[in-house]
Amino acid sequence: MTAIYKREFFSYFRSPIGYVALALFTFLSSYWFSMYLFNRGAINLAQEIKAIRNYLILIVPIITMALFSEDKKRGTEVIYYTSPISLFNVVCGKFLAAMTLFAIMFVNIIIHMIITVNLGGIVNVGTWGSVIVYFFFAALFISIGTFASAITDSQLISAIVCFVILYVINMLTSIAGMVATGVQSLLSIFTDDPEKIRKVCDAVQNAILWLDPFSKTNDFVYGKFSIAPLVFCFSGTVVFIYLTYRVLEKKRWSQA
Amino acid sequence: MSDNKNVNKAPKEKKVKEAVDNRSKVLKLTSIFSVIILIAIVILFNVIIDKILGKSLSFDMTASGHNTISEQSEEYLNSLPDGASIRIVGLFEEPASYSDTPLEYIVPLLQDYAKKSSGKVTVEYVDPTAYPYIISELDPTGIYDVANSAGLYAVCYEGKVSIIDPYDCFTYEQIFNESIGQPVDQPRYNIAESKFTNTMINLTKGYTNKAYIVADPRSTVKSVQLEAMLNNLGVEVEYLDYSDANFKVPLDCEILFLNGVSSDITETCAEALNTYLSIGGKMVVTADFVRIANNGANLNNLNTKVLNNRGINIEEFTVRETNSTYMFPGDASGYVFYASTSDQDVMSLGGSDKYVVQTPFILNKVSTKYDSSMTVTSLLTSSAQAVKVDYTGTDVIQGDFSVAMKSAGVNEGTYELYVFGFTTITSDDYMSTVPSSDSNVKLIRNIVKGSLNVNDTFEVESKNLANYSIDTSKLSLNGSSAMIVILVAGIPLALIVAGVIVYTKRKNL
Repeated sequence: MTAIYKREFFSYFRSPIGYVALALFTFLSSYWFSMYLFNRGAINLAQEIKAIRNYLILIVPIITMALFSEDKKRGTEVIYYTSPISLFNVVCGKFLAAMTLFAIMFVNIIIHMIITVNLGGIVNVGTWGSVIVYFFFAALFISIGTFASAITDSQLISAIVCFVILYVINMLTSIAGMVATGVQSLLSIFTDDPEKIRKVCDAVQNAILWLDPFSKTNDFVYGKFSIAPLVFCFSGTVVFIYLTYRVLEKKRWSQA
Repeated sequence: MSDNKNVNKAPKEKKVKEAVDNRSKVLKLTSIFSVIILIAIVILFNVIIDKILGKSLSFDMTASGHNTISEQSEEYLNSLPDGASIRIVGLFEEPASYSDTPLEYIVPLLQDYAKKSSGKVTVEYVDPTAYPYIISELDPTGIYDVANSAGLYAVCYEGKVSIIDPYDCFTYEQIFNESIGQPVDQPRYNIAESKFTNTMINLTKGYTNKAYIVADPRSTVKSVQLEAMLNNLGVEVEYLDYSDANFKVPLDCEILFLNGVSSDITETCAEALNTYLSIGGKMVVTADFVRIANNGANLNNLNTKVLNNRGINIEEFTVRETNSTYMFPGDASGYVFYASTSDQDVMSLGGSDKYVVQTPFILNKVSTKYDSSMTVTSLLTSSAQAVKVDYTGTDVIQGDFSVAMKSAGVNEGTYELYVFGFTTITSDDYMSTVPSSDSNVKLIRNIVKGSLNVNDTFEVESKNLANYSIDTSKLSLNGSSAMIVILVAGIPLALIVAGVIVYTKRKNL
């Protein structure tokens, strides 16, 4: 796994992908930081990190699009099937390489923390809460990107699939609202009891929001730490890593 | 022979193919089932964690406990009878994100109320625009004005409703914002828990006492903070206007505040107050030296007809402190300073021997009116190095001066009169910028509690808000511009250039 990890990690810097992703992240995070610095005279790094979470839907597809699709396109994926290491280790190695790149991106935030503290600002528990959520989100989203990369041999399609999945996740709150409104309109045809309608709508909305990692982790920014949302992100990561493994494993028996 | 061979080979190949197909089928089924089982386990595990263990696996990591109710609130919730039902309704759609809004300190806190109340408190969000029925459900007669309370919280108990504005859950300090060139209200303390707990207490137990605040008719600002503090003690508050020609102290008045006096009271008012005290009334007077001096006013009626009869006189002088140990940090003028006390009662009531005063009146005992039916004591004094200053700002004499006094009848059931020559004890300006644990606030709160015999209160402290402000003096405009250019443009451009170089090199390999 270490060999795969090293190969994949250094490949980010042997192609422009790593540099572009780092540049994009640096620009976006620094832009938010400067907005706080100039416009408000106060810096809440938790809000900056929270804002950056929304840009993961742009950055993650860039990082993960080539993880497996590139090998498939070149035909070098056969190495994974013929080498003595397990496919699961291959998936984990590539996943960890992408996570390491994300950790490097986080150096930007550390620089912002140092600047903030030197300017008399604070780095409080809300900031650390955001940091924890940031890494759990990164793990979940990278696993989704890895899966998207494994199902196609086109980097572009992989990036688009990953972007669409992440965008839908990002929009779950709005989707939940829209579905609840739709259900409300529909139910109002059948019943006149407004409280019953509201309860059904709330149930539908909550069911959709249960799948939304963004709304689950909102309270971390305010210093309220919960284990459940982290378990949700972690188990989502495990599911997508396993799905990726299964997609690759499929080749062993589907072409027989 | 070869024909025989081919005949034998065909079934063998067929068998191998069948075996491979079967193996593929098994692997395929294994793969599909393993995925289904994993997803099922993950969903089940998450549901268990979220619904069963979720509440016990969440932790409030904030230093001030913004997201958690205090022991006092828990104690109150436990004191509620079984079957009590308090319904908190946010009259808006539950926000998906509430960063940088007051709700950031309220939504998680209310979840904690619901979590720790054993079902006695429920929290829900209903947008009255989408579900108008909620208005008639909560307020069928319209007396609580729920119809005009969209965006606010309604706390309901047995048909009674109290409305809480999320913005009222904070105390504010006015600071000058350089970027917009005008003062803005900056939140200082989070009083959301105090607000909700006390609202629930007042709904479930009702107000137990009544106070009147005699307001300055020239002032457009009411004593909002004082009123809130009294409400929190279960004291209902009403206002009286001391310029009213028919001024009377209502019979149900249990304590009366003459708050921030900035002009003399009328003779009618003076007579009413005198009568009120003579029948055992309790009164707190705070006087505003700066506004009286600026108005060129005097306090003749207040002094001669009310205070002098109880052995106290407000002199037309203020105090400037020169003793550095008494001076307030950051105030070089000496007009804001710490007044000290040697009175054990004051020390125990306020929990301190020093209290912040600003440009206070000097108070004196009036020996001619002082008799054995009353005790007059000095509560707070300046240091011996303080200087007496007149309205024009001229120094008069050096010495120690009283700035707060108490006069009380010696017999049980007789009057209690507290006179503070300053307003940094009941004014909105002061109370809104300090926490509820501040000595001045504790002193006035405990004076009220003592006067009204209020003992069974649940006092919830205000909580510090994180201050994210940076020290702009450490960063020049040029310095910050350079830093931003490097961060926003310099580093990303350097990375892009590195990417282009790598790309070009690879292309030329």
